[in-house]
Amino acid sequence: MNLAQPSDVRTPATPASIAVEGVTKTFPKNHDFMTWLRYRGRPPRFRAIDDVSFSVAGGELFGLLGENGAGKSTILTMLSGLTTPDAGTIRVDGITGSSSGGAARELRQRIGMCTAEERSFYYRLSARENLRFFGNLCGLHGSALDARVDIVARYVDLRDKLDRNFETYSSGMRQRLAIARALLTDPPVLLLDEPTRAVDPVHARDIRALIRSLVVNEGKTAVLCTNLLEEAWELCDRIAVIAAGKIITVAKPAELLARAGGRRYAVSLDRMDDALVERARAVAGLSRLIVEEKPRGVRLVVDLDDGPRTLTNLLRAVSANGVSVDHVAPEEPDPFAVYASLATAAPS
Amino acid sequence: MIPKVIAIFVRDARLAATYKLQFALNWVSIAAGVIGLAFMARLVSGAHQRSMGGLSYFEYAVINIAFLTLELGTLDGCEKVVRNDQVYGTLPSILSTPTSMSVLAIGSTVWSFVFALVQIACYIGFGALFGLHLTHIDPVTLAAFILLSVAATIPLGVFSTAMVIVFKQGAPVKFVLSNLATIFAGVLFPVALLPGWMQHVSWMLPMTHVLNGVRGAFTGVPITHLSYDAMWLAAVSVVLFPLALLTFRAAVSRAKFDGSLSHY
Repeated sequence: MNLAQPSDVRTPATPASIAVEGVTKTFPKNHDFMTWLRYRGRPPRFRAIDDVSFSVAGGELFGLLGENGAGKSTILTMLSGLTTPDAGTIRVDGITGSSSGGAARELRQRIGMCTAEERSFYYRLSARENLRFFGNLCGLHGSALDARVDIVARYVDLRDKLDRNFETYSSGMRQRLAIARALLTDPPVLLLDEPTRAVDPVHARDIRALIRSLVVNEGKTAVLCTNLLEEAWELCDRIAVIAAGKIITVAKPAELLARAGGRRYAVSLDRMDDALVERARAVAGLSRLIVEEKPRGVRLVVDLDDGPRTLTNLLRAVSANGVSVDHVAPEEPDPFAVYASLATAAPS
Repeated sequence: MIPKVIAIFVRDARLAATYKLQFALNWVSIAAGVIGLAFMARLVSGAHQRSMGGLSYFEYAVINIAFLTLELGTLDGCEKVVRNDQVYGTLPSILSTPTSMSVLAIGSTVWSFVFALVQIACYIGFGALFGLHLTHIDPVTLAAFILLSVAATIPLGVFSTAMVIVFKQGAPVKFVLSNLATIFAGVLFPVALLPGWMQHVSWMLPMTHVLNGVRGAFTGVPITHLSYDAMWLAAVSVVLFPLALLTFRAAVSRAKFDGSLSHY
């Protein structure tokens, strides 16, 4: 199955950029009345986002990757203006996020928000009625709106299901409709909160292709919030790894791999016994050793703290008992290992 | 602005129409109310007919209850819609669109207003079957007081909505006004029967002036003779409307700061 892709490849006008500087956000720990009274209307708050800064260039697909509760969605809701930061500034396409009145409306006109929240449509209305309603609120009317509804429904493969009530939609279809709504006004900025959540693999693949196409061919600027490593790796130009409300690093996927590169090696030996494994583990600078039994010999996968010198020491240690080293080669780092090492190294 | 208000109205009408039983029960409840009043009115003597503006008790009560529906519909229209949007989870998506607070507030009231007008027509229609006289109606006065009623009540509804946005459940403005109206606005008995100090409270309620005007319209009183009530309502709406919008905006800002916009 192929979802419709934006066919009219356009040269975009100046793509919209995003700048986030020193943003901090706290939330009340709870909202109950007694707490509110006890603290005289100022209940204790917890820090969800802590001094976060990053920028997204126009026409870039920027990923926010992190565990559940890391603060990704909070950043997205602040970018959309639905949550106000305690401190710091957010600028989207030159408009400050805290603007009010006409500037705020102008900002909202330029943003297409795809929420991960399933409850964001009217269950008792059809998908078409829902899209028409939100399109109306975005200033679209009549035949222009009908045409646009048709186009975005095609993008997400829901064109022939538009007249079904939203309550009959599956979770994945609801998510696809949320993407369609975000694209209704053809906005220059897309904020995508877990856009493929609950979507089946085929449609998820097609949605990723659609997002990539919107960025590459139409010059849209997109911020993608995801828990899926492969999605971030496949789609994003740059990824911000977030943990406990802080940005740990911002880099291109290839750069993240390169940072971890040169430290993992695969060593093939003709044999190996327990004593030798212990000697190998004792080598200073060895952070991980995996022993894989092979039909002919043994394969060691080793992570080294400081590269070549530790590798030399390791080879000396394992070859001392007449064991022959058949092959030594650097291993491509695993994105998961790269992400896990970054996320777990984050201060809590 | 107008296309967005219409869009909100159409959405609310469609949603209401999907709840068919509730929709049907509305009309049954109006018919039952009017029949009940017709029999109750037989218990009431004509001793206070002067303070009822020359209307029989049945006419007095039917007109008041019909137009109280309009008042309450306008009062809780916006609040009910926004509360529903909180519960449906659609409020953040609506506030993500370039729609101003005033459009949202007015648009959310329109369906309740139109529905209340139809309810009034039903009250009056059923009332006519039981002796409500329609021959003396002054349409200009009636239209003017319907408009003034809406203009003076929408700001109160917006205040109520602001409370719902911050506190989620509970709408004290609506609670206070609807309960005060029953006693002080002269819905079931003339204000003249109240002790003096209570009549001062009565004077402060928009509903008292709306019902005065509407009853006048049903007895053929021209708007010029009801200018005091009309001016009072106009002044209230001019003063309260900007204050209500500011409060609504402040409530949304507060919810955005607390991150509670999507909470319910």
